[in-house]
Amino acid sequence: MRRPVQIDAPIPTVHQVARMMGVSPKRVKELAKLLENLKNRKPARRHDATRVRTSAARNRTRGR
Amino acid sequence: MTPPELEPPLRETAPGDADSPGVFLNLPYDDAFQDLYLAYIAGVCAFGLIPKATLGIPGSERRLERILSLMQSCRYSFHDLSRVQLADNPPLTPRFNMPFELGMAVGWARWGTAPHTWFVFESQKWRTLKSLSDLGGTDVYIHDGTPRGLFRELSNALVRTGRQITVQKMETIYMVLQQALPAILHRAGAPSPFAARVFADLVVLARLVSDDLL
Repeated sequence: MRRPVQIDAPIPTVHQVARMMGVSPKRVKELAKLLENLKNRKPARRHDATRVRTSAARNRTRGR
Repeated sequence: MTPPELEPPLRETAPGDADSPGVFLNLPYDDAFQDLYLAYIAGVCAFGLIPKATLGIPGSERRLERILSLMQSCRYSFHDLSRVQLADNPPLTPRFNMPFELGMAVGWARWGTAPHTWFVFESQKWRTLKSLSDLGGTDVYIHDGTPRGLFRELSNALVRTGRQITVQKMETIYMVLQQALPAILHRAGAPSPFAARVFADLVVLARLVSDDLL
């Protein structure tokens, strides 16, 4: 396997990337807001099917 | 934040520039490839590079000319040959676009006027020996068809000066892209992520997340 290729190119800023991709500054703000919302989003509740059975639940069905 | 007009201009579009951060992505555009498509965007952006794809090619221009021009503007190209099988819908034909564009990149790297480095990715080991035996002796990066496998192989292929790019960082960017995709598709009114507008949004979002992780 060949050695990894070293990348020395300067890392472009968000605005440089946006300009290059034809994304408007307004849309960049919207995407930044979307990112913030995703970060602040509460983790989804566990689905009932994956709920851990409590010992009480196990006891309820035991002996039936 | 620095105003955009004060930033040094990127020399990305000029062929012949060794500092160009562009990566030409030669990928299949189909639903079964969606996860890897997002993973390529996440991985490339994590390395501080800018993915470019033929999705943005306007219909008015001759497609082949535009592909060549896009490729020439990029310092690197990634070619994924993992979906070389026959298409499901009739007539049954192999997909020649990816190997064809790989051939163009090899030619540009060999005879072009600018430095160009190309990488080949596959999901199955040894398959290229059968599908494209001319690549014998070339390192093919096997990603096993999974985003995590792709991140592992990107780490094998690239190293970034002064910045450690881990598989975990790439996975974080990928997860954000996955979560944001419905909202981006909704706004663009696009049924799939293989649209120019969606691609551009994903690249900028990946860049934002990459900044956020540092």
